[in-house]
Amino acid sequence: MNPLLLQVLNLAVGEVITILIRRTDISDEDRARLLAVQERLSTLKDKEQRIADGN
Amino acid sequence: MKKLLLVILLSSSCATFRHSSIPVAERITTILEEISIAADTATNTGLFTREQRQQFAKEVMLPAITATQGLAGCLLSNKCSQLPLYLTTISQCLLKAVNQFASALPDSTVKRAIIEKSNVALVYVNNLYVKVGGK
Repeated sequence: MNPLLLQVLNLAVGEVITILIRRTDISDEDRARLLAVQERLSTLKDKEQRIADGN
Repeated sequence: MKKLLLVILLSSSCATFRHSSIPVAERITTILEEISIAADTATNTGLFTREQRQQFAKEVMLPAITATQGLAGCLLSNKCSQLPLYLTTISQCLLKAVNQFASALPDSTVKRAIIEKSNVALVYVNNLYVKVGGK
């Protein structure tokens, strides 16, 4: 294969991997929303656990 | 090259899936909070005995909350293999809230609230289940 073409292909693959990592990485906003959900669920679980324990 | 394209497609759809699933996790959480308040009201107005409320907490609320925590954890870590299991558990808890607990209550605002909220949450859960490839 033409060495120049190989070099271009290598660069293209590198770019694609960079895009791939960005796509799979969770955004700060999504992370904050999910952490807020977990916090609310944790509070609700404490409340229901107290009721389940008869307190 | 074909493998690379497949990986791109899969990771891209997973990221989109996660982003679109976060509002569902938020809504299910809100509904669980509302059902908990409705169950408190049922207890305070004498529709539920203390023992029934305790049973409701053990058999409906705690397993549903734990499964929803699992769902949020899956979305946070992007490891989706356990999602169908969590969704099935939430579904079963909501069905129990309607069929076993709410149906035993006399007709009231609280009874209707538990049934309506559970049914709304069931629709969200079922839609998400279809999205992750369940049938």
